[in-house]
Amino acid sequence: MSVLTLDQTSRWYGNVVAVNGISMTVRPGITGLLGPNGAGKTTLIAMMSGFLAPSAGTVTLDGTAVWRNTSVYRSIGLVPEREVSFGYLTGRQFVLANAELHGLPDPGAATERVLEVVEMTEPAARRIGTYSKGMRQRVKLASALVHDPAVLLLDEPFNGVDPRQRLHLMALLRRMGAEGRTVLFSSHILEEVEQVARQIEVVVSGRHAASGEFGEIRRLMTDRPVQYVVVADDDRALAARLIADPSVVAVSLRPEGGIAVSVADFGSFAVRLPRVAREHGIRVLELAPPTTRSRACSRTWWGLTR
Amino acid sequence: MFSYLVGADPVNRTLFRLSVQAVAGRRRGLVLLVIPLALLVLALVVRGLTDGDTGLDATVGLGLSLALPLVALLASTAVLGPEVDDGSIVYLLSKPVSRYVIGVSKYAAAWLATMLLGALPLAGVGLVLDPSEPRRALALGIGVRWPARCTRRSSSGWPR
Repeated sequence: MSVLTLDQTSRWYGNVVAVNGISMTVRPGITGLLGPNGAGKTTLIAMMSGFLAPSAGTVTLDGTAVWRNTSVYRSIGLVPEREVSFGYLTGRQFVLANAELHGLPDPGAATERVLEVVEMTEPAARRIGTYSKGMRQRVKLASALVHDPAVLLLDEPFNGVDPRQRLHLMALLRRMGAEGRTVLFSSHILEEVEQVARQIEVVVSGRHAASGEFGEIRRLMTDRPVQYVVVADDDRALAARLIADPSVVAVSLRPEGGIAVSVADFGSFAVRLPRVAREHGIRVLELAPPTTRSRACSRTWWGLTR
Repeated sequence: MFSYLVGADPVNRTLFRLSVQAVAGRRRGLVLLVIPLALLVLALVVRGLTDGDTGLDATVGLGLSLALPLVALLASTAVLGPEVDDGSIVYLLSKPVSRYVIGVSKYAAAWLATMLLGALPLAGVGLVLDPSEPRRALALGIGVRWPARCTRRSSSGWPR
C-alpha cells in the first residue's frame, strides 16, 4: 500500500508556470488525472516519477522524496506517453532488459509472467518495430509491471488505442487497482476516466481545479449548459417542443437555419430529442455536438476552476 | 559523494548489451562496418601501387584523422543519441540503477565499438602496408587506444 503525496507542488519553465501549487494525495486504487491538453498533466506525472524537480513544494512516496532517488523506482512503474523506440529489440528482449535492470532474482520468469498478464506472450518474439499501437502500449505496460510495483503511473495510456484494446487495457487497470496498487493515469477525456477511475483529479492550466468521485466531477462538468445545433424539417415547431423539455435551458432560431439548443443535462436530452421529434412528426436532419474547440467546451473546463 | 563507486560494478551488463544492440542492430551498424572495410581496401590498393613509407603515412593519416573519429562519433551517438532525442531513455532512467552506471555502461559499449571498428583496422592497415614491422602495426592499433584523446593530437604526426 503506497501513497503518493504532492504538497504545494509547482513547476515553472522560465516565465511559464506549468504546475501551480498543487496538493493532492494519490491512494491505492485507481485515480484519473483529467484535464485538457497542455494543462500540466505530463509535467505532474514527470514530477511524481522523479524526472523533474518541483520548482517549489514536495512530491513524496510514503514520506520519501522521489526526486534524486533512483531507489523509488523499485516501487514505481512508469508508462510514459513516449513510444518505445527500441524497435530493434523483440518485445520479450525489451521486457527482459527491464526485469534485469530492476535486479529481479529471476528476470526470465518475471518477464513471462508479465507478458501473460498483458496478453503479449505470442507476439513477444517479434521485433517492437513491427508492433501495432495497441501492442506497443501493452509492451510498455509490461515493462512497467515487470517488477510488480506498488505504484503505477500512466501518461495518456489510451491515446491512439483502438476501442477493443482500450477495453482490455481498462480491465487491466481495474485489476491493478483491485489488487491494491496505487494506479494513476492521465487523460483528457471524461468518459474514459470515469469508466475506470473512482477518484478523479482535474487539472486545468496547471491548477488543481477539482477533486472527487467521478459522480461529482461529472455533475460539475455537465451541469453547465452545452450548445448543440439541431437542423430539422420544421425548426420552429421543434424549437417550441424542445423548450418545453426540462433538460433544455434555451433555444434560438439561427438566421442561417437550424436551431441552437442550450442543454443542461445531456443525458436526458439525448433520450428526449428523438422522442419529441417522433411524437410530433418532425424529422431531425442534423445534430451537431459542440466541437472540442468550441467555446462551450473550454467553458466547461474553466467552469471547474472557479 | 562517490560512495556508489565502491563495490558496485560500474558497468551494468544489461545496459551494455542494450547499447551494443543499439550500435549493431540498426542501419548505422552497417555504415560502421563499411568505414574500416574501406580503409583496409584502401590499404591494399596503396600497397599495390606504391613503394616506401609514403603510402603508409597517407593511409594511416587518413585512418586517424577521418575513419577513427567518424567511427567514434557514429558509435557514441548510436548508444545515446536516438534514446535521448525521442525520450525513450526514460525507460532506462526509471530503474533503480545509478545514472552514473547508465552513463559508464553506454560509454563502455561505444568504446568497444570504436576499438573494434576504428583502432583494430588501423593496426590492420599497418600490417598490410608494412608486414615487416608488426610491432609498428600493433603500436598503431594500441596507440589510439589509451586515452582516446590522443587520437586528436597524434593525427598530425602519428608515433613511429
